[in-house]
Amino acid sequence: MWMDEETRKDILFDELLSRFQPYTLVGKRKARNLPPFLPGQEKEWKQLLDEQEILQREFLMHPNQTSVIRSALEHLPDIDGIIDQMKSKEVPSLTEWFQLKQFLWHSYIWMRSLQEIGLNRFSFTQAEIGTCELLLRQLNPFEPLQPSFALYDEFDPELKEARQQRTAIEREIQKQNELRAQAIEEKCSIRRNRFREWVVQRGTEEEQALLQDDQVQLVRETVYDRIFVLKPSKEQEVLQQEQMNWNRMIEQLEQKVLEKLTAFFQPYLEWLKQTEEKIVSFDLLWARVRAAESWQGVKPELSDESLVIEGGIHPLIAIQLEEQQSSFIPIDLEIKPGVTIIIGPNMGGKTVTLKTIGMIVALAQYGFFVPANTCRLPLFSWIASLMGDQQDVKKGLSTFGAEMVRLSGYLQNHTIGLLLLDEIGRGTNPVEGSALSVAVTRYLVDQGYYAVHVTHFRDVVQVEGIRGYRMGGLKNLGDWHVHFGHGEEIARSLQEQMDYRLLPLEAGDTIPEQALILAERLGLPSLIVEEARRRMQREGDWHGAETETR
Amino acid sequence: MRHFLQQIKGQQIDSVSIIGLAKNVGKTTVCNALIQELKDHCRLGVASIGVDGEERDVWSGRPKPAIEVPADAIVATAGALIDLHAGHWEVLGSTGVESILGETFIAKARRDTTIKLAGIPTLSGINRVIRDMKEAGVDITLVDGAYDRKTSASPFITVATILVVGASLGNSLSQVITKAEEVIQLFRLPRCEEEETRKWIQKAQMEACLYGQIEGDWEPLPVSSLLQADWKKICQMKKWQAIIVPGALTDRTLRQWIQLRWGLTLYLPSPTHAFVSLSSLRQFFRMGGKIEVLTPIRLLGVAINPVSPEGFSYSSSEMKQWLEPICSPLPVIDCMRENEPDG
Repeated sequence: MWMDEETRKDILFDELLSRFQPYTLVGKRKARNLPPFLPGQEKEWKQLLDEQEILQREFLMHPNQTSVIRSALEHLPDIDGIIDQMKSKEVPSLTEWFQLKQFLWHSYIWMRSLQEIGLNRFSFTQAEIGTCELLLRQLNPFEPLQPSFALYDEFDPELKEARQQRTAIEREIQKQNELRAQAIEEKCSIRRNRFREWVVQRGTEEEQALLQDDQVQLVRETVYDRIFVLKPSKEQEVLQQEQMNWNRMIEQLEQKVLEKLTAFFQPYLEWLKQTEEKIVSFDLLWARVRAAESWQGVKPELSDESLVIEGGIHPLIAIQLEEQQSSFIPIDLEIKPGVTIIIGPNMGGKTVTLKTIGMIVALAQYGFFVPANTCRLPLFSWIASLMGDQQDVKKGLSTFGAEMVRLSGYLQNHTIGLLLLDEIGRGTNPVEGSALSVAVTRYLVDQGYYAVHVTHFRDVVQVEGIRGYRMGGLKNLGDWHVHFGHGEEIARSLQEQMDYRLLPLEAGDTIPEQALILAERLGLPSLIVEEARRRMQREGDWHGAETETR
Repeated sequence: MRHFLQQIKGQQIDSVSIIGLAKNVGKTTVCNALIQELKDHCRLGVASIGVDGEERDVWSGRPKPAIEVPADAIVATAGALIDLHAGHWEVLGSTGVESILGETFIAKARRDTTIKLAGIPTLSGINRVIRDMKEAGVDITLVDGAYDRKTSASPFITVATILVVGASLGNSLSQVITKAEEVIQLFRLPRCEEEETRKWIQKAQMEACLYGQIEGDWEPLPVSSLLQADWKKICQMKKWQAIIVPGALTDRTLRQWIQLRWGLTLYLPSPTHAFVSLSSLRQFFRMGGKIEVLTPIRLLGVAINPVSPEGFSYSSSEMKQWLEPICSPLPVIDCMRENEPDG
């Protein structure tokens, strides 16, 4: 699996991907099972991105045509099932032929519109457009072309003739019926209802008259009424038999028309399939462009050496911040094989940075433009994250337990992946947690993964071979105070004081100790904060009992 | 039927629902009669709402009658039902609306024929289908309503409604008449004419919030739902003159107000939002209470069917005699016992 469910949730991937909305039914289906590009598919990946660039540049210059093409895509039916059916020599039904005609009709509009724009990259050849028209005309045996479908007389002169014969007989039956019924109406002084029935009350003269007339028959009765209909005459019985014979023949001829059409379409089934694929891939491409426009995406480039993001943002978190009258500080960073650590104070934006990296890489590998100024990356074999509270209640595991299970799983993967770790070891006691965090970091330095590790553990910074960044942290440690109010006001006040920039780690940088300042500014009694400061002096003297993991 | 035709043509009605108050009351037969009446005057469309479980028709005793479709009329039904007589139909469009038998297609009859209509189960679906029929050139769409679902008459779906009252409604004629009167009274709830109040009803609907009126001013009622409210307390709190109920008005709530001798004016979005008995309604009106609606139902009249599926029947003329004063001035017709139209 390239990215597991937990990682998708951590980086808010599906939420953002809901902006990816193709127009065709097949496109919508494919969008639900979109595959990522994997190492080895660099050429195809680059081609897809280039095509988006062309589409963005050339196609969208023609707003009038885009609405026509959009409408054609929205109406394009899913003909996969019909093609499969025809491949096994089954004859499609009337409504299925209608679907097929709709497909050709809207494909034809689509092809012609693209031809008018002159988008050669996506256009069909003149011969292909000709094939589309040929098939369309097979289903439309007269002028002008129209999108509806029926078993028209023009499909078969024999069918036309048979229908005419049937109509003549039907008219004759109707004429005779009318004459006979009118005679009965005059004789019995009662008219039929609109269903050609005589409804008469029991015990009336009309009832008696109808009961004695051998041209009518009683069809049903209630305690109040009796209902009669006209009995067919001998001559009419003959006509009705003829009508039935014509009905049977017409049904056979209609079936023959459908069979002939099926035979005609046989050599074109592959062409239909390919046409559908081509249109759907255009639909998906255009949907990618529209989605990426919503986050002002840029084309990611391929890099063999490192993952580089400049001006990267997480569009969903950016919206949240905007709603809080704040703004997202874009991230700039380079991640090379090994471990890149990110340190910074609580609420300093470390986890947001991890989510942003994950989102940008995931979007890029699913073939989307990314929300950044520039982005260069290798194609990763997998991406995984360990962030936040991920208790696996079903398996009876605590946060720590669930994390260890997932981490063990990831570490069994020996291909090159991107691993996003948010504070490994935080779920257990600090001494063991720190030791574990250092050990995991050390292990990852030599494994060739691209690991990004957000940590508070001081010892992790000392691990040899790591690179890193630190969040800017609190700008003013002295005279800043939280303006108390509701949650949003506190958050805004904090945001104003926080420098969310990602700065390269320099020699001598260590874990910032701003937690106590933050706690104090957030209103924790100074007695507690002072006690905590005193204990900080005696760092390393661990006297507490080992706590159980949650 | 001629009365209906005059109303439909005269009032430029473009959609009519035919609704029954019980199973097997004969909606499809009324629909067929209406088709016969209208076919020479306009391009007809026919659709069905709901998941219809009726298998046999009462009047004919035959399996439920198919809709009789004249040439050039348009229907909305499942593809599988159209395919049964492929030569009779020209398929005009697919709707994307699912029925129990698959996707609903719009098709035009190429000759006089019959078809069964697959019910469209959702209101949004039927609205979409009516829109598609209009685009296909239909002047009047007839909607064969779901049995026992007054919502099929919703003015938000069709412009006008014909109510079918069948013998199967009750075990005695008086029971049938009482039940019919209940619905007819509700369906004839008058339109609220005050523009300002109409705006408040729309607002209440959008917010799904109950509003009350005191000395001409509207304010939200301090209750989250009609059912859980302590009306005695609310009634004592302020002198409410009117209440806007944006959802369903139940008999239980109305009875609570009657017990409190609270003769206020009630405003509802449409008559299909009222689920109250005739006796409660009468008591409420006697106390001076009034009910008005934002969008009334345009009831064209009542069609009767004096034959019940259980085999018993009433006299058609007696049934008409009872119903005519209740419906007046609207027509009461028995389409089986009326003669074929002239010409």
